[in-house]
Amino acid sequence: MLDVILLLSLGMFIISITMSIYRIIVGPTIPDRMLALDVVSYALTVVMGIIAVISGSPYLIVISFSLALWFFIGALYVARYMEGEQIGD
Amino acid sequence: MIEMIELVIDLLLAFCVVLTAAIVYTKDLLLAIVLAGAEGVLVATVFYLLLAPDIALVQVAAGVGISTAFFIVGLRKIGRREE
Amino acid sequence: MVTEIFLALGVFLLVLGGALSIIGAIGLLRFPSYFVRIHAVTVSVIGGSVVPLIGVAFLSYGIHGQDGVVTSLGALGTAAFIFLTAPVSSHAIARAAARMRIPREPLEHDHLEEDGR
Repeated sequence: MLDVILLLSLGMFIISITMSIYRIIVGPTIPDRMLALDVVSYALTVVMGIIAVISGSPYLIVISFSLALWFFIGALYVARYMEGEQIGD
Repeated sequence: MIEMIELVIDLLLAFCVVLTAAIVYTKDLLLAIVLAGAEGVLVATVFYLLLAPDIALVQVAAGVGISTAFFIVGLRKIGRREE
Repeated sequence: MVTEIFLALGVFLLVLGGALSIIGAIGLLRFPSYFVRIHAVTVSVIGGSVVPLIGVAFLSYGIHGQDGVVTSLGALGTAAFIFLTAPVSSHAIARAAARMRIPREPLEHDHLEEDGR
């Protein structure tokens, strides 16, 4: 019962990631793609947490925290570059 | 349960193929950097689902954070558009 | 008794988070322009990542007992970190997008231009 619920929520997050990947590929401007990458990164953080609960090993949750931290730094770098350039598209 | 996780791995690798094709065919270098960051996140999750968390840790740090920072520092030197 | 309460609470938060994540992704697909899509992404990040990570923390303690305390505390720390830093990065990208003159379809007021900044 509990395994079925965990796999069901895993499937829901995979559906959400699929829609956001579509927005990454066809999105008109760069900030749209960064927004969709935001959704993909944090949904994959939750997927990693679900796999850590299924596996039961205490070493697997560290990657989730590391992904959130490094994506924050990457988003700030891209935002700094876009604010410094100031031309369209 | 194992079949579901293998299906997730196949789906993420298919997304990686599509993102790599988009990186090759684009002319905007900032767009290529953003797409490379997205592909780094997906590849790190594939390593994680194959139960190799140490390689996933290195892939997250290198593919999402450090390579984006270095490419953007280089992009300030050479300009954004590719001819 | 405590274990059943933790399992029920964890399952409820996890399924609620999955539903909110799908709702946010549908909004990300169908909304017309960037500054409208920020609203959907707010639902999808805070409701779809912080809430299920708290559910993952409850579930880990409920399933594995004392062995799952490390995973539980790690999930709670990740939830707190996302709750603090996701608005910062989203605001930075939105400020850069406001400077970049990207198309904004249903525009009624632009207070940033009216103030002259």
